[in-house]
This record gives sequence, structure tokens and C-alpha cells, in this order.
Amino acid sequence: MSSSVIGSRVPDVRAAEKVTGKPVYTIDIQRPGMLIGRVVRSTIPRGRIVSIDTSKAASLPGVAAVVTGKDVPPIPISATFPPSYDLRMLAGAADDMVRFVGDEVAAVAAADAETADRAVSLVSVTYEPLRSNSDAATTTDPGAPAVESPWFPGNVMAPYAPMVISRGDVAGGLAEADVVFTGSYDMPSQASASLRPYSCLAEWSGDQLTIYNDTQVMYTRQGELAQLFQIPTSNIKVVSQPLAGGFGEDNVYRFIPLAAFLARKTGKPVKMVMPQDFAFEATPNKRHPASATVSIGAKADGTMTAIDLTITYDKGAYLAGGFSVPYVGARGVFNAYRTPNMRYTTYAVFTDNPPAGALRGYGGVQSNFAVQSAMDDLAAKLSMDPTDLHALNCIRPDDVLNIQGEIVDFSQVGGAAFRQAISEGKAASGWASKWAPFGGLSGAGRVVKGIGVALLTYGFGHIPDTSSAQVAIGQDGAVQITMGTADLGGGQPTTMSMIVAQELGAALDDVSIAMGETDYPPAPFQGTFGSRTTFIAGNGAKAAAADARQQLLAAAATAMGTEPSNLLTQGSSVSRADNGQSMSFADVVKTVLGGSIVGTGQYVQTLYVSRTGFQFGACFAEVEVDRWTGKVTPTNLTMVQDYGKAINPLAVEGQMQGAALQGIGYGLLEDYVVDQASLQPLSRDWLYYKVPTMMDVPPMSAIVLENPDPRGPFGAKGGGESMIICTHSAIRNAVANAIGVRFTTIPITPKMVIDALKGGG
Amino acid sequence: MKISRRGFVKLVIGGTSAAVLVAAAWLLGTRPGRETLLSLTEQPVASKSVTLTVNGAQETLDVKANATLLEALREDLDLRGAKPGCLNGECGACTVLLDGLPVYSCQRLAVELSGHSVTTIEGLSGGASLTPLQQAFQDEGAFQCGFCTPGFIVTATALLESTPRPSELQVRQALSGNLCRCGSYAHVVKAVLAAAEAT
Repeated sequence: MSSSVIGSRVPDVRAAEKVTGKPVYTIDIQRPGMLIGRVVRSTIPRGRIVSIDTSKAASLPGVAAVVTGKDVPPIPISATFPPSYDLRMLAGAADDMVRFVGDEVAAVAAADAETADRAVSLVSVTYEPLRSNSDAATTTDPGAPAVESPWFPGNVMAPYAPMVISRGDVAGGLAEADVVFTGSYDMPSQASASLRPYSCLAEWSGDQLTIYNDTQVMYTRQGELAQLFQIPTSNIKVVSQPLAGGFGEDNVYRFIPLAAFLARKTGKPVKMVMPQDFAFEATPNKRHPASATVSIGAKADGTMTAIDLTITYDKGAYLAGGFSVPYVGARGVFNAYRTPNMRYTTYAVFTDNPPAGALRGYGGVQSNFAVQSAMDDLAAKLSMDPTDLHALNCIRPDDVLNIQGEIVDFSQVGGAAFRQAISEGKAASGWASKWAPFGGLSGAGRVVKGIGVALLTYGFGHIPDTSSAQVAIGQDGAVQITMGTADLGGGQPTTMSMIVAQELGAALDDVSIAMGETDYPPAPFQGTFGSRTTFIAGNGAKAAAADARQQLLAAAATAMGTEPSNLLTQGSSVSRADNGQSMSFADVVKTVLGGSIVGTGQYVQTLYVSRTGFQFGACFAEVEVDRWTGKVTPTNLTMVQDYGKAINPLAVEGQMQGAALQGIGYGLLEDYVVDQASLQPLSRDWLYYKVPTMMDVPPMSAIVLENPDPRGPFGAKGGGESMIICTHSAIRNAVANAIGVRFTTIPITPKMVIDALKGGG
Repeated sequence: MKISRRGFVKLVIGGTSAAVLVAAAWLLGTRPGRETLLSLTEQPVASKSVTLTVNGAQETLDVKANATLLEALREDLDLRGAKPGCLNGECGACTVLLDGLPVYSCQRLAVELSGHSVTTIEGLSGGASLTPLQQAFQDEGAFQCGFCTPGFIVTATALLESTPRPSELQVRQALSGNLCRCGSYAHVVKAVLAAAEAT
């Protein structure tokens, strides 16, 4: 490999735009004559729409259209499976039910935002309220209100009714244990709380539809729209503007087809802008609340004999994407320990709560909390150092194990670096001098300290997929990448540019990238989520660069009177290995070829688990607990993660820090409250839903391990979800170490601490 | 639905009677939505001419009496660097300098600002190359998606103006009114301290 672009700390290729306020996010897009669209939402959790009076709204000057469920296209008959049922644009399209506070009931388009808001206020909806149910524990009881009927009888979502994934003999393993620990844990919802206003712009030209939207799943959106409007996907172009914080979305967003519908009806571009509380209330871009019971059997020396995790995910009122969330939760056990006996039992149930879908680390954040808390609790029961318990039982680099039904040889996928993560994290955090078993609070001062650990147990990639790219070299030597990858804000354009520059031997400054449109080669087709971009899209980009390089070398070899095998590329020049004679890319393309070079490449990810990768690591959290105020302050985080190869360490560090910060929020601050009487979400903005500010950031050290995954581009593994998987668990365990209280839910609020300490903790 | 501060500000301008109704609604314990509130202001909102300096140039704008500074900047002047985040004075994405001091532009009415001077992210470098602070944000990777970045840079510019050699704590305190959900805070602190060092 020539001198390395890969592994250098490269500032974001779009940095100059970002620091001058130039990026165009969806909310910034304007079209001449465009209308502003708004949605009327249900004010009750469950009921029937008796009538909707739109006459006043429709007669307001400046209002171009008011539509209800009776106006929108019906759901295609060929697609009555729930995912498309979710696609109904408005209540009333499929049945007359509303199912949560915020459900879409009507939509308006008007000349300006203020008129649209007035029109919304003038739409009068009469409901017949029905008994609702927000409790995931009782929603499956006989006689409970049916949320999703007829698709999911009994409010249970097949195949999670339940789904059981196991290896070995769990009952036998528990029977041979010296100690069995059983604990129950509740993991609440978490809002994306992304600052972006959820918005899109739709415009038709004849039967060609263009949608501008900050989406992670362009081709999925394209497919949904094709289904709803009964036109080929080739008539639909989805443009993904740079995301203002993309933390998860394979969700259904009904405002997008609604914008298209209103645009077609009015013959004008329609920009749909959701109000700010949409980000908390109606978007499915939030975490599934879950509750779990974990049983772990162990020998007296800590060797685990079995682990049994049962977890129920509350989907809320709609499927809302996130179909694989419960499945992915299995990683909390399977991607963690080598124990021969293991069982994961998962239910997904429907309630009248706001729907949950995809949020960073989905499924795995919840199961991680249950398992990593239970392991810490078991260590306390065994009087063991929890790092020793983890190190004894974690997957090892050369293990061959049944992972969710597939045999995985970890030596073939870049190992399982848990033990390395534990030992490096212990050294960096000073664990040996800081950790001691909790010894009671008598004689302790007002502020007590604790340290805790949790393993990062997750994967990346998720599903079979393909990724394609095009790499062109122009006559001036400029290298242009074209690929349909969304720019989530995590440095994706930079990572792709670095991979191509390295593979091609181009100077990074000569490389530019066009991305974010469905007209480009899909990369990856299924979308930019699940920590998959570097791995899947990166492999596609690398293949395209390799193809371009081959064409370049063939042309250069002829001109330079040698074989391609005698040529090297670096810094946008081709040179002969034997005598150093060199030509610039520009000369090869312009003088020798007279045309241009267009390389293409594709990467195919076929199988489900073993062709997907693993995110391994550990988080060590230190906290101070103020016994007077109950406030828990994180004082230091030591984060260790195996990235295979950090393509851009600057971006990797940013991912680790940012994910950890969201984990701190989930563990200590972010309380998503739904009033249990009215089912009205009470956490509706950043004032009532606290996300970490600059004052909440502890010193953080990021330790990047590099055990290459031979399948990844330059050995890289996916790692975007990173520390959000385990930071909350590490903090919970640190609090237990500080005050001896083993909380079973989060966020750990001052009130919880005070109440627990009063109770004799 | 709720009454946002911005919605409330707009209402008061819309008419006293509306404000009384809102107060009554609050007292009765109901929480009318913003849409409901707007419908109370049935009179067309009057427009007024204001003259202010934006990024060094004098601008005369015909603004609605209930238009925020953020709306005037984005819609009348097409300066879209200040971002509409929470629109409620919570996130700081819309921060601009008003007479040199950082303000949430979603919380100020444009009609109030005749004779004042506003600087946005677009005006910081005077059209030339990046300011040392912008350069430091670039070098330190002090952002991810970039949506909150204009707000951070504007606020930090004001900090470095008043406190050229801030401590780390001063940087954190000054920027604690700007949210970054991507969690780039650690790199932001490094960037601001690096810029202070460089100038």
C-alpha cells in the first residue's frame, strides 16, 4: 500500500461549508410559488373519527387544499401487509381509527406558514374516544383494546410472539450453576431530539415526482411512494439533503407521501414542515421502551453456565419501521459471551403509546442495559471484580460460536477484542486503583465516587444488501465519486473520499463526491443506518476505484511501454516501479486516452449474520454521587472500541464521543414522559426533555483498537452506533459501585437517588 | 401542542384581546395549540418598515409585526446560515450577533430592531477567508452534521471578543446555551481554545 490517506486525521471534506453556514438542509430549500403543508393530528390516544369539518379551513383565503383520509389514495390491495398499512397517509384511508396522540388526521397546504397554521386550527374533528392501553405488560391480556387488528391479533407482533433464539441447553446450564442471579430491568424510550425540523419538499413535473428530504433511506422512500402513487420507481427521484443529525430512520414518515399528494392536487411544489414537538411526539424516530428479565447461572469462580434473557419491546401504536428491532436485541447476549447455553426470548407488543422505530443502537441499547446490569449484579453477588467476570466469559478472538443460528468463526471477521478492550480500558482508567467493592456508606462524605464498566455488544450491517459506486477521472485529473449514500453528518463524504483516494492513489484534494440522490448508484440500497456505511458503501466505493485504477494503468502502461504490474499510483500520478518515470492522471486521461475513465464497482452483502460484522468494546465510567442533592455527575469516561482500521481517526473519535454523550443523556437526563392518564406526551421540546449540554461533558478518552476485519475496506469495521450501546449501562454500574444502589431503570434522576438512599441504601 | 414562547410573542403583537384570551386559557388550565392561538388573531398582521445593518450593509425591510429576526434574515434576506432548530429559545441554532452580543434570533421581533446591527455566520469573515475560529472548527472537526455549527461559531466569536483568553470552563459556560445532538462538544472546546491561542 502506498503512503496512507487511510488512518490520517482528515477534516470533514465539507468543513469549509459547514463553518460558514452554507450547507443546504431540507428546511433551507425554497421553490418559487411553493405552498407550505401542515398536518392535523389526533388529540386523543385511541378512538374513532366521527366527522371532520374542513369547510372553514378550506374557505380561508390562501388555503389551496385541505384533505382527509377520504381523499387520499387507498392502500394498494397488493400490499396489505402491515408495513404498507403503516403507509396510509391519513387516518380514514384504511379505517376510521386514530391510534395515538399525534396520529395524522388531515393535512392542509397554504400560501404561507401562518395561513397553514390557521387552517389547521380551523379543521374541526369529532372523535368517539375508545378505551386505550399504554401498558405493554397488559396489552396482550384478553379483552385489552386491539391496537393493530386485524394484522396483529392480540396486540402481539409476529414473529415476535415470542421469537426464541437459543443455543445449548439453558435449563441444564442453570441447573449446574452454583449461583443463579435473576434480575428485571426497565428501559424507557429515548427521543432522537435531533435539532432538525422534520420537513420535505415535493414537486411534480408531469408524472415525474421529486422529493427533497433529509432521509437515511432514499430508495425505501422511493419504493413507498411508487407503491402509493402506482408509478414506477424510475419516475421518482428522492434527494437526500445533508441530515441535520441522523440518528436512525427506517421509519414510515407519512408527511412525505402527503406532501407529494398535496403537490399533485394543487399543481404546486409543497414544502411540508412539522412543528418542533413532532420530534418528540409523533416521530417514530425514538427508542422502544422495553422490559427484561435476565437469569444468569455461574460456577463459584464466575464461569457462566447459562444466560437467559426475556425482553418485551413496546412498539407503540404502529409498526413504524423498526421491524428488526427485537431481533437485533439478541446481540446483547449472543454478541457478548461464549457461554454454551444461551436463550433470547423476545416479544413485541402494540400499545396506544406514540410509535417507536429506529434510534441509534436500536434493540441493542435496551438488551445491553439488562445484560450488563445483571452481569454487574452477579459480580457483586459472587464478590468478584466485574471486569474479571466479563473477561472470563466474553467471546474470545478465535472462538467459533453459534451466533443467532449461524456458526461464526471470529478469527475470520477480525476477532472479538473484548479482553483487549477490558485490559486497555482498565489501564487507561486506572481501574486497579479506583475500583473496590461497595463497602457501605457509613463514614462516607457528601459526595461519593464510583467506577463501573459495561461491554459494547453490538453488530453492524443488519441485512443483506448491495452497494454500488462510480469513480470517474476527468481530463484534468479530477476524481469524481458518484454514489447514492446519504450524508448523515458523521463524515460519510470524507470517509468515502479517503477510501477512493487510497485505492486509486489519488491526492485527496483531487477527489470530490456527489451523493444523496436515487439517480445515483445505490450505496447501500437499503440505506445508511446500522453502522453500515463505511463497511458496505465503502466496499462498493473501493471496488469502483479499483476498476478505475485498472483502466488508468492499462492506458498508462501502453504509453509508458511497460506492464500495468510495473506501475504504482500515488498523489494522482502513475509511476513505473523500475525506473521512476511518471505521468499525472490528467496526462494519462487526456493525452493517452483522449476521453475519460469511468470505473464502477459493486459490493454484495449476502448472508444475515456471519456476513455482518461486530462492534466490540467497553466503556468505563466514573461518577460522583452527591448524597444531598441526589445528582449523579459523570467525571470521566474511558471508551474502547475495535474499528478494525480507523479510516479517519478524527471522525471515529467524534462518533465515540457523540454516541457516549447520547448514552450519558439516556442514563442520567433524558426522561421521555407520557402522561399515563391522557397518554399525552409531556416531553415535547428541549426544555422538558433534557439532552446533554456542554456543561454535562466529562473528560473522555477514546481508545481505538485495530484488529482488521478482512472483509472490510482496508480492514475497517462499522462503528457508528458505538458507545450509545453501553455508556448508560456503565454509568448505572458506576452508581451501584458508588452508593450500593443497583437501579433497575434509567435515567437515574436525583429523586431516584434520594429516594433510594432514604430507603436505607 | 403548546404555546411556544415564539407563538406567545407573536400573539401579543396580534392583539391585546388575544393575549387576554390566552391568559384566560392558561388560568383555566387548558393548553390551546399554537394553531388555535393564531386563529384568534383574525386581523391581518400589519407590516412595518425597519432599517437595520446586516453584515455591514444597511437593509430596509418591510416586515410583518410578528416576524422574528430569524424569519426576516432567512426569508427576506435569504441568509439561511442561522438555523430554525427549536424556535423556542432552547437550542441556540439560530444565534446571531445583535450589536455584538449573541442572541437567539427566534426570540427577537424584527420590528424592534431599527437602527441596530446584526451579524450572522455569513458575515463573520467579511467575505474573505475563514476567521481563525472557523479555521479551528474545521481543523479540530468541531461538528458532525453542521446544523448547530453556525450558532456555536457565532456565540464563540462573541466570547473571544469579550474574553480573548478564556479558560475551558468559560468556554463551556459561554456555549452551554447551544445544543449539539451529535455531541461534538469536546472538539468544540478544543477548537475555541485553539483559536484563542492562535490570535
